[in-house]
Amino acid sequence: MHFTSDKESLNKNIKKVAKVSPLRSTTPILESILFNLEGNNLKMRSSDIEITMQISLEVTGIEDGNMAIPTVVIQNIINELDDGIIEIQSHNDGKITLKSNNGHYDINGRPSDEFPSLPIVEESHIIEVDKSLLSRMIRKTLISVGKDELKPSLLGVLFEISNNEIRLVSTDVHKLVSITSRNFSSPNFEGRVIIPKNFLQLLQGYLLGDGIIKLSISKNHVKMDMDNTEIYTRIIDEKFPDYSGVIPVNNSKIAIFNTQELYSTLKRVSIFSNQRTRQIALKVEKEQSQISTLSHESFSSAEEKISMDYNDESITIGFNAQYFMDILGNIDTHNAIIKMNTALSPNLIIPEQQLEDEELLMILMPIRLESND
Amino acid sequence: MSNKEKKTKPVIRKIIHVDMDAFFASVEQRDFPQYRNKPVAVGSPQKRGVVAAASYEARKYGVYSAMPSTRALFKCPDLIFAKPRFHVYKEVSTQINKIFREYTDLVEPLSLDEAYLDVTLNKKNMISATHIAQEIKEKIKSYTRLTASAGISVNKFLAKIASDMDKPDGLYVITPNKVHAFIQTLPIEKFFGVGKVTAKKMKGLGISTGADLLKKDIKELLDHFGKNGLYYYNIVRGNDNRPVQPSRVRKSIGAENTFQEDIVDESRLILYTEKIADEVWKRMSKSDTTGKTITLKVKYHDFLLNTHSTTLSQNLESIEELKIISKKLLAIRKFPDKAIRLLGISISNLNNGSTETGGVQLTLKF
Repeated sequence: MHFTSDKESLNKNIKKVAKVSPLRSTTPILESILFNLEGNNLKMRSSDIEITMQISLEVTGIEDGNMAIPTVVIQNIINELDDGIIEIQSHNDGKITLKSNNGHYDINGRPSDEFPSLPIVEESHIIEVDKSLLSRMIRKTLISVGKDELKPSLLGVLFEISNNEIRLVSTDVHKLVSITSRNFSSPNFEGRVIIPKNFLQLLQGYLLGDGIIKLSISKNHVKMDMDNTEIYTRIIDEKFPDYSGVIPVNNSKIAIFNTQELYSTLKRVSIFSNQRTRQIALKVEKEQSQISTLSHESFSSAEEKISMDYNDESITIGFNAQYFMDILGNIDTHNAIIKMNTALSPNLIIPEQQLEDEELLMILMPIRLESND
Repeated sequence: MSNKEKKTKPVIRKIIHVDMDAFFASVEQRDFPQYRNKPVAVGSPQKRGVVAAASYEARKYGVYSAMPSTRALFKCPDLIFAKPRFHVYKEVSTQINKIFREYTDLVEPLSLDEAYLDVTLNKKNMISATHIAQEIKEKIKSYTRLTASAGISVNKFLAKIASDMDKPDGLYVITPNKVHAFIQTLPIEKFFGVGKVTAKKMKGLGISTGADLLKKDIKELLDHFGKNGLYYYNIVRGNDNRPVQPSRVRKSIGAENTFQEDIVDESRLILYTEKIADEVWKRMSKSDTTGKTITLKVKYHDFLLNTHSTTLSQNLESIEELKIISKKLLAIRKFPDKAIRLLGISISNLNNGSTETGGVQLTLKF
């Protein structure tokens, strides 16, 4: 393999592709980037087994070939080089020579045939989504993706696709976010797929600006294709729990509040809560509501009044303040609504007005307070 | 000697390690006369139970703590199983801690039945640490009708080894001028922090005693044992500057096992996972602690380290629960085909005997 390219283009693209390379892996070949040159087309590939990324770029090809180059080394040296033309050449003994205006460098390459091949994406279906819409839906669902490795189905976001609707759902069993958009059509494909969190975080970087993004969905993989970049991820092959069964429908105690005000109150009061449980109590009453906390461990307590529009009997519910703040951070409207039932049942939190063609539902489970017993 | 010289001369510390003798089992023998002079194990005789503590009579048959109950019964068919009564053990623990505090506030409890005391300066202005240890042992006996063993020396490492030298009801002193002679003759297995695997490795390098270890230079020890090499280098020279830390709040409790040889066989890995869980549970019981987060540490043969964890909505309640979760974590490890060098289990998110039981975070019922 032998080619030349300008530093800026090489640097920019290596930075992108290096994001997937693990720093340390039990399969050492993954700690490198696979370079594959055919004519003037250079393909660079990285993989952590779950996610594989491939970037193509135009270079000046001299001799076709493949070689895997350690990610950290190639990324660091290219980044530090002065602007100008860079020449990269592999030799039969596995050495790679890199030449620039600054000097020349020898790197030990790795055999390219050890590098995992691209996932085979059979019988894929393509869906098209507005970039800013998808970015918004992903951002809102990422707050409640699970972390418990014993519940693998919750380690990603459920995409539920029907002909004229797309719904994203995530839950860590303490909170749940469901966001549905009807500003969408998928004439040829309907289905459900759980997409891992890491891929969605990576994808967010490609959803800036206007336009459409295409996702190919197959039995085992999802693939994103944009400009010169392809990203593949394995799908989480598990059954997502039946979320529709836990969305409360009979929560008749309804309070309306100022989103930002409640957020700020929670933030202040929770400073005095137990730092591990972040436990606070929300007491909702007709005239005046309050949020309070008490930590025996740190001998601290706090209480604030807050106005809520409420016309039902008084109720006190315990919450993890951090979870509550995560949920409020998802609400874009001035006011929000909480629908409650009992101190121990799921609470539904929604914006006061939904966007046109959109429905955002969030569920927050309470903490059972000692006074609830 | 000028004042300046006095200042720079390091103070020789006086550290006592107090360890109750067969603690849980002795409490049971104290409270139930029918158990006295008989082999007693605290724990459950059931198929999956383990021995949490064994009386000295039981130890004669080869019954030890953390041994599966079925095996213990095989070794000693007349073994009596006593149900653990942790609230009683905790009461006794509070009593002995009160005795310690008559002498110093620098008390570092390691568990319910074991603590380090720094008596270099003490509330009674006593010169002899041996006298203090003697008095403490007598008071423990008269207040609790139980015996303790004490080790006295210049640092934690030596005090702990000393308390084990003369058990039960022992008192063993390693005075500053005898430290070096003592360490020289000490078999390598007795060094705290040297497990079975390390001991084997050391023997392979011709190290059987402290004297052999002393001959090795720092470079060789670092080469063979990584950063632990530095620890071995220091302790064999009697250098252990770890202070006695009274308010040490535990963040986690765990145990791990480096295998004699790398293991790939699933059934053996499951067996070891259960064994380690038993050990962790024993340690949790000893310090009367439970917690919510369970972490399994897996080190593969190539030293790649992965951890897998899960957090429960409530504190762990039984050894069975801990075993089931640990095995589930083992099953989801990233590389099931790779041989494993080390397994470890730790519990964090501890209640630490907290009064703040607080509320319970409820979960969605799918």
